[in-house]
Amino acid sequence: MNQFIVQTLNGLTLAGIMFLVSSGFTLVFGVMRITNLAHGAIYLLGGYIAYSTIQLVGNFFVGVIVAGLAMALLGIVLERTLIKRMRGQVMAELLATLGLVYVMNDLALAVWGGDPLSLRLPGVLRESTTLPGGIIYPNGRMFILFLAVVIGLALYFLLRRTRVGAIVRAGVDNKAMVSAMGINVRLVFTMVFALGALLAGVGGALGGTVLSLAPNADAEILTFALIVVIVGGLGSFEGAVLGSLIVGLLSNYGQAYFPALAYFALFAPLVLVLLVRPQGLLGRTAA
Amino acid sequence: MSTHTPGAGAGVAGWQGLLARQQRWLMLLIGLVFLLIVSSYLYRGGFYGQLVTQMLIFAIAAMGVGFLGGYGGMVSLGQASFLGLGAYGVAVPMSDGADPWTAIVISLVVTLAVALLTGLLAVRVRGISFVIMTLALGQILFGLASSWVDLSGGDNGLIIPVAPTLGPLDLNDPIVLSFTVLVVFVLAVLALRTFVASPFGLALRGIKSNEQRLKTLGYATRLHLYISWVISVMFAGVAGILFVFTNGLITPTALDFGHNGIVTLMAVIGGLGTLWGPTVGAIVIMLFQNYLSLYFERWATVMGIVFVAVVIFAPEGLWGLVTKFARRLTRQKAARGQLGINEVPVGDAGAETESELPDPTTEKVQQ
Amino acid sequence: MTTSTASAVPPAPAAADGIALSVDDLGRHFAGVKAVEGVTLSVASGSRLGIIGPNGAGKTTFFNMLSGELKPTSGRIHLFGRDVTSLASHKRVALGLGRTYQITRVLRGMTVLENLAVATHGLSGSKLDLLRPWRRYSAKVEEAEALGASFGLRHRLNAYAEELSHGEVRQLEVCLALALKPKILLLDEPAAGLSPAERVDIRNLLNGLPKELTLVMIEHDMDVLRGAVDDIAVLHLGELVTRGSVAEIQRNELVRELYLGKRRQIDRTAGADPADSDGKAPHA
Ligand SMILES: Nc1ncnc2c1ncn2[C@@H]1O[C@H](COP(=O)(O)OP(=O)(O)OP(=O)(O)O)[C@@H](O)[C@H]1O
Ligand SMILES: [Mg+2]
Repeated sequence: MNQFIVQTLNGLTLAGIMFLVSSGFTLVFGVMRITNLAHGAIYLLGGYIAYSTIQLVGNFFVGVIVAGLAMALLGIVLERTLIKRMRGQVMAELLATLGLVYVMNDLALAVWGGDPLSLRLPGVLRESTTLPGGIIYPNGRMFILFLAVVIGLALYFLLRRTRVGAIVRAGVDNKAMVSAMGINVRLVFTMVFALGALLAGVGGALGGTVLSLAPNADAEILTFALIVVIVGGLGSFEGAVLGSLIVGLLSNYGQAYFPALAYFALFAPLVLVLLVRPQGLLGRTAA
Repeated sequence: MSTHTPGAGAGVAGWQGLLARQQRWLMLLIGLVFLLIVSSYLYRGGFYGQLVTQMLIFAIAAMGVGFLGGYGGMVSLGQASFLGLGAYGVAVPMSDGADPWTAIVISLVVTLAVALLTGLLAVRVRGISFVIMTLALGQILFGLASSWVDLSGGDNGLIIPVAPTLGPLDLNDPIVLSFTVLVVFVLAVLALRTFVASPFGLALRGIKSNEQRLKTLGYATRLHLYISWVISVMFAGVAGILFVFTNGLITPTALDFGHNGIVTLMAVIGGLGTLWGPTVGAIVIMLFQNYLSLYFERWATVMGIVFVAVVIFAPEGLWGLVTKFARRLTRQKAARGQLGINEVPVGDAGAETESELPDPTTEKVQQ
Repeated sequence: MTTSTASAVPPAPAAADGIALSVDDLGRHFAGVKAVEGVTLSVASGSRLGIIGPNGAGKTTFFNMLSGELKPTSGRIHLFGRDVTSLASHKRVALGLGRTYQITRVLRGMTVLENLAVATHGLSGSKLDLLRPWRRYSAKVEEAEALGASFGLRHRLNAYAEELSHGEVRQLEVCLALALKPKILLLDEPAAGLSPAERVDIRNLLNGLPKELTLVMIEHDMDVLRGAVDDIAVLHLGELVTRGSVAEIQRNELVRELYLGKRRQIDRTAGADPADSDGKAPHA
């Protein structure tokens, strides 16, 4: 039983990381209709940058923040130079971001090499706590879960309770209206793309403490994020929360209890959702 | 094309007919030269013989992407994984002691079964959601190959000790094997050509253009897309069988995201919806991978940049550019003095250039 | 033009009770907006019904339900006596229903002949043939050519759909529907955005349709409707306001108030910018 609770907590931690990555992905998709296949590469790059920053300054939190900001900056540059050339051509945007994957991963390989790296948490976070019921659980994982929840709540607040969020949500529903209101849609797009990259970068920094950073880690996290958004509903913030929980937990149980077939644990929700509700659990129906 | 007086029309038709005939001969000539060059490489064997063989194999897989994506409007990002499925379909039974021919049959049956099942999912989504779904399917196959160790040998992969013999032909001879690949490649090209020219292929282009319209013209569009999906996957499966015999080995890496992306890149760089595009794309990308990489370590960066440039500046792909240019040439000669200056370029660029404005309704999951 | 048309469309056998189409309490809501509400009407086989109503009255939504592209939120639809309410679009087409679109949906990226060939294969098993080139189906190709030729597209058969003028696109749109030899044809504003000269073409085309064909036509232009239809149904805010002969409708005070008063205004906007009434208007 304790083992099961530990696995559930592990699954929740994984869900937290998936949420950080997939919420950025789904936000960008929801507002701009861009399928950013480089999202996983941004995650990985964020992790690497956090790694190097921590090596340099010796502070984990500085590393996380620098990774997030660096990726936000990269997002701004990409959006302003590349994405805007293809505005609205959804398939071209998708394919261009696929090209970026090769560029980013190759450059990351040149700088950080192919050996798996992982991030070390500071001081007390490396220790474990005994939870009620005698379960011993690492502080670091609880901390990541906690951070994911905090960031999730902050995002929710931003999207649902602020003017900026209203604009972003309106952008999802009605771009023409937003432009008519005299809001600079271009700026909103750039900011949203940057926010998506920031979330991926922070996800990489935090994920690097639990999962290893190595070539192909980007593809794995991207797959998780994609399955999360298919299950939850493309473009839906709440869908990203629900999808992360489902996929994170199932994936972890799968790896813990049937390691050979763990991937069927991902396949099952994907198939069920596509068969029963192709737009995703919380996705809006196309008319 | 548009003529106002019958007399002028006849003259134009003559011109065009001549050019069209010339074009056909030209294509045949290019095809023959292509075959000759390829054959000479295959005959000499060695590094370049191997490279050309691999180009042909990946071209077959990329043709599947080009068929479904270029004619049906559904771009797959899981093709390398299906290639891997075909390869494991041979390797797994052979490592259990099956003879090569039995293994080939098992591989074809397994790939077909997976195609039939996944097709049920594939036809339920369109556009972006389709791409994402194929990517997820591909990653799941990759995950199975790397973690289902009992069956797949895990990261070490599986080794194929022996290739089949076909009467007097022993495919264990690399040259014979290479020419077998060439024969399969030619058959694949001919099959693709036939499919595209058929009423089925015509309808597929119609679906890409406007699926709703095809429905109210009596088409069960999902059935067409389903069959196309199965065909596309089978192209990958056949390529996978050739792949495993020519390499003697299959590892999960061949199924990973990077490789899935690369097969899609081949189809896109060459030109979706063109007969020769996937082959051109396979040649270009494999030159990057295997030739440029000898001299320049950061070849993947260059490949990525080239790909982005093609998407932005030549969305119709390299071969698409050639055909567009050829068509424009014949048209201009044919129609000089007949059409106004604002002649519209032929819109073959594909779905990615179709919508000019972001439209939240078009890319949603349908139904 | 008119004589060859008749040969392209064979006589339609009348349904048993002589009713081609009947809808009962049909409704469709979009998140609170009642686009269509409680519409009940029937169309006799071989008769011709016009549908008018101001912009946003729910006419296109009504058609979309008839053709199976939108699920009704209430009510039933019967086609030739058969309940088709939840039947897929392509199966209704197989029953003999054809339609055109207000926002034209010709197949861009394909030539006129290819467009028509797709349509002529639509109801035959040959549409699943993967092996024989479509150009070798000579009967179908001839049929497609004849159809195009009989509607003024003879010299445009090899032009790509996106190269056609707006008027030609409208003609092709109707041709596509006719290629299936429908028993009942739904036309959604076939003359929208056309110049007066092109309107004449479309009117000739309509006049050339076989008399047995059941026709339901949405049209703002009374001049197009007059002579083309027997009956007119008036939709307003999703509801069927009234139905009567052309003369009756023109006399009807309520209709005059609701709709005809606004008509001039509508026509003016439509005339000023064809793209207004047709989101996918082709380039100049
Ligand atoms: N897919 C949809 N989603 C939401 N609302 C819709 C949708 N389609 C139509 N509507 C709404 O339903 C109402 C009726 O629209 P419809 O297009 O049927 O009108 P119409 O009579 O054809 O108008 P027009 O003369 O402009 O063609 C309008 O208020 C429209 O905004
Ligand atoms: Mg309408």
